[in-house]
Amino acid sequence: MGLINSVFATVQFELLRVLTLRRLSVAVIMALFPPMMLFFLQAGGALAAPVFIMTLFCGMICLLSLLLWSTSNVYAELEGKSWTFITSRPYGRWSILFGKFFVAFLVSFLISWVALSLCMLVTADLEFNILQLVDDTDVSKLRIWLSLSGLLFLASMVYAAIFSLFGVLIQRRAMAAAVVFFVVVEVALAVIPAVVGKFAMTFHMFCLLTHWVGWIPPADSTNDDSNQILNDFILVYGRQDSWVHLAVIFATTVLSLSVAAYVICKREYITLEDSQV
Amino acid sequence: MIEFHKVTRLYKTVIGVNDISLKIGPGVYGLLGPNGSGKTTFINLVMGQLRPTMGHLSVFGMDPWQNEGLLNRIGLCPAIQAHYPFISGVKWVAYLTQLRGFPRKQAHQMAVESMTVVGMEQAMNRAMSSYSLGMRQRTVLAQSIAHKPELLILDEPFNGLDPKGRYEMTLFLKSWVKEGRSVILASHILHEVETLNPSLLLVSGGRLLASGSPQQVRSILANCPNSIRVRCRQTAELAALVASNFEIASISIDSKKQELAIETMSPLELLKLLPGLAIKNNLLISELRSSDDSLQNIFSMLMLIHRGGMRLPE
Repeated sequence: MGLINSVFATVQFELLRVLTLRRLSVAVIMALFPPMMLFFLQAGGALAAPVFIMTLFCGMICLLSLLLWSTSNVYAELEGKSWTFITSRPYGRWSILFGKFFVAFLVSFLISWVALSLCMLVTADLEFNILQLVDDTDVSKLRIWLSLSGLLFLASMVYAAIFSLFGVLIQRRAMAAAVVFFVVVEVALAVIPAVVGKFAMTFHMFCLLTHWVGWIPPADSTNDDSNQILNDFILVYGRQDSWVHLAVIFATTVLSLSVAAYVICKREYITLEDSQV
Repeated sequence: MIEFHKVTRLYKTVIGVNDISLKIGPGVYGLLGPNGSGKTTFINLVMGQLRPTMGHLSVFGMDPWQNEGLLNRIGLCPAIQAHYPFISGVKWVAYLTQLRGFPRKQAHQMAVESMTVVGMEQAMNRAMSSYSLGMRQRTVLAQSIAHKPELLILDEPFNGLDPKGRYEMTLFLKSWVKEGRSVILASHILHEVETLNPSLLLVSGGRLLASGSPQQVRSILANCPNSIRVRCRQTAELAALVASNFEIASISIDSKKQELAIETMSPLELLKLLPGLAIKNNLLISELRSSDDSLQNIFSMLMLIHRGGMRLPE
């Protein structure tokens, strides 16, 4: 009960700190960036693939927010000289990890979700022309919005956990390390058509997207084109049900947070005051 | 209450504390040492934030290394200023009290009480950016006493306080001690600590050099050579007179400053003798001072004794 209280207290305290003009302005600018870009691209007639563009921008905003909020979980306290106050409390270390994880997850999801929703509004007059391979019908905009919202939720959760782990393991260069990790593992590794690609969360999220939007035809489809696409897809991505991908994402979140919790509780963090003896 | 057994803590190649062994019971203690002497490392070891590189220690009979159960029995007032510009003092103290596992309402109530105790009842709902240095220091103190700990550890609590603030802090600490609670007060200023009449723990270079009551520590020093500085135009003549009339450990002349540095085991006798010598020989003494009042000199002396460079008389 004490742990839950203290995590809740940290979430409240951190949210209180978010409600400053500077931080709110940053959040608003981040949320407005994707719809603004979409608007200008559309106005300039250069918006060829609106769904891809909005997914890319909203995903970037989500990641950027997570990098800002998660990776600095320990270093911000060390630098702000509040680490000593926090760690002299029984639940201090736990609450900093989990409290900041929840806040990073919540803030990043909200910013990216608002950005996505605004993007959908900006592109309301456009035809997306995305067909479901299940039954050759148009994918509704509502379905795209719900699918992408779900993915942003999962991305915010799993990357908040992974980046929190980086923040716990590495203090001064946690953000840089997290960026390198993302580029190497989540971008480069994910496109390798081999088992190693499954270590990337982007792989699982892409698979989920194909399921949720209806791009994967059923196994008993009689449509030859669909079967060819299905065979190609299975060759590269395998064929797992949605729950398998969801389980991998949730398990990665739990594993990352568990390792981070172990490290933050067992590690000696030397503050500037300590190093001066 | 606290027991150190041959505890050494290293930061890579830098020594934090060096082979400290001590056993202290409940009471009031002054942890004295110059800056960088190992006071903060000592405190962090007691708080379980650092693990000894060698040796072992116990606090309230338990190993403090990340012993969460122990932390609610101790209150720490670190030598750090809290800086949350947009948060009020009471909210910050309540938050830190919640991290001890107290429910929100109870934590808020405890925060209000502790802010009142430290005299912040008028300003506790204001944003911390509007606080003076003294108010911030009092807020830091409030967070350490909100849960009424058995042991209160204060690291340089007088730093940045004006005379009124120092007086109020001393009054608070005296009342805290009157309630029968234990206090460890780390400082590098002897007279600040002395007002509480504590047992002294003198640390320097990471070592525990001496311990005892202020009177005991002073009696150790009384038996050590004391340095007396005399400013006089006729330094050579005075040096000759002192050397021939008095038992001294050493004497040196700084002709540029027109100053004489005399080391003696009996400073009081020398001070009695000097005016008579000056009058009799028509010498003008413009300044007379003992350079051993500062804590730094005490530590230099104790360090010398510790390293075997000097022996205490029996």
